Amino acid sequence: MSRYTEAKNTFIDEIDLDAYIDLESSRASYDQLAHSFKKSLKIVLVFGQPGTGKSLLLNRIYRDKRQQRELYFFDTPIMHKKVFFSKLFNILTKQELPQDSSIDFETFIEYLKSQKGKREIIILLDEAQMYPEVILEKIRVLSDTGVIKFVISLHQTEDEDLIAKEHFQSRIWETIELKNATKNELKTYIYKKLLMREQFELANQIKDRHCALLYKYTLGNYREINKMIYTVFEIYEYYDKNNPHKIKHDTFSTKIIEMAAIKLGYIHV
Amino acid sequence: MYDIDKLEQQWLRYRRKKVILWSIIGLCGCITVGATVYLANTKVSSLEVSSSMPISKKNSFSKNREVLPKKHNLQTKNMLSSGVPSLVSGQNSENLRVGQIVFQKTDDKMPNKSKKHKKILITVAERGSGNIALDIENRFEFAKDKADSLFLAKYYYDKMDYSKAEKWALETNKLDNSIEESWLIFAKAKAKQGKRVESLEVLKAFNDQSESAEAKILMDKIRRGKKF
Repeated sequence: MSRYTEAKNTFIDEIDLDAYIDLESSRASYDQLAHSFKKSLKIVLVFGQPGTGKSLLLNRIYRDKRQQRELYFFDTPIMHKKVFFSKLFNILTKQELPQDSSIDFETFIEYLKSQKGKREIIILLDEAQMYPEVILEKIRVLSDTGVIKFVISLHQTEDEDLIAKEHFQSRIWETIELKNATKNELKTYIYKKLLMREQFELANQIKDRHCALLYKYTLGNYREINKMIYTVFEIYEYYDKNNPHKIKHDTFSTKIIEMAAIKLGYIHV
Repeated sequence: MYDIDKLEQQWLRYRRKKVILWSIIGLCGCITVGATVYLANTKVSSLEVSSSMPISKKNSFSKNREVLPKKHNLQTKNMLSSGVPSLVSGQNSENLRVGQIVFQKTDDKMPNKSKKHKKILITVAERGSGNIALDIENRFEFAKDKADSLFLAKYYYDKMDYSKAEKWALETNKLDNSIEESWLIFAKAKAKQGKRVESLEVLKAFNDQSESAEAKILMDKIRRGKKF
């Protein structure tokens, strides 16, 4: 396998906890979220632009803390009330909800109240902005019981802020905002990613000016960075296979970054 | 896989656009700088005058110049009153229409004065008749300043108007017969008009009283018929 193929695969945009890069800002967010678990139960809001690492943060905390706490992770949004309650029923009773049966919400709330002080359940909800309003309303009431704490992750847009405001603001205990990488973080991120795959030579070829150019196009958004570097190495991979004389193997090319930027629509020609 | 050829072409187009853009920006910058320098050089002429005036006098002089009324205000008289003037450049009246005068302090005999060259920039606006010589001649009528007459002698000599040069050199000598330069201009102007004998007599008389090396050299040149 070409070293460019190996490098390219490093930047596939997927949640790979083993390939997680520990940066200062993400470490701070993680610590803040972990610390919020110890506080009184209500709602924790994790928000930020798409591609800032919200899902990765929830995944990491779930992997690390699920042995220590009663922690559940809804990684994909649930659109139907029945499915949502079926899941909650399973969490509370450790049993499947019998088919053709439904949950009476008030009875459910009463049951939860009876569990207060006995159980502390934390449910991580990723992409919460996609939940229907009716479920969001139920989540708000469920959080009031003090038995279930919800960590909800939302995209940071005006509308989604409104959702958070309307349904959860009075109950939000902690707010964690995730931001794009700074220039330095971008550089560290790329270096560490490459070093993780032992691509020392390639890592050393990427200079500050390349990082500045990458930052210019991606604005430090991790998803965009991944996309961009993936494309850069894909172009390298092509040249390496078909026209190896067209690329320098000992220096990183601004031209190829620009070609990737054209390909991804950052540059309009 | 992408169509790399197409991508390369797009990149080349992008690169070309970028180069053109930067070239235009660079060109505009050069034109701006060039135009600024050109305008500064053409609109403003500079006249550098060495002066032995004390700094305080020069400053007051510059103020006087700014408030002078309509007459052309070169004020050569004041400018030269305390020292021998040396017009380094801009002697043509055309150059003096709108210009800058740079005074350089060269006299290190003056007490309590810094030996550094002190430059005072004065913008001279066009006033008066526009003919510098005429303005100075008019002023000489009432001011009777030897610096003015010496300036006119040199001015007309440079313009090859030797009779006028002779006249103004004589006027200078009448006011102060110890000025070597006016003697030399007087003699040279005479010689240029073909009055070589008179010229040599003048130089001899001046040499007798002052033992001027310049006078001797000039006498020699006139005798030999050499250029001076």
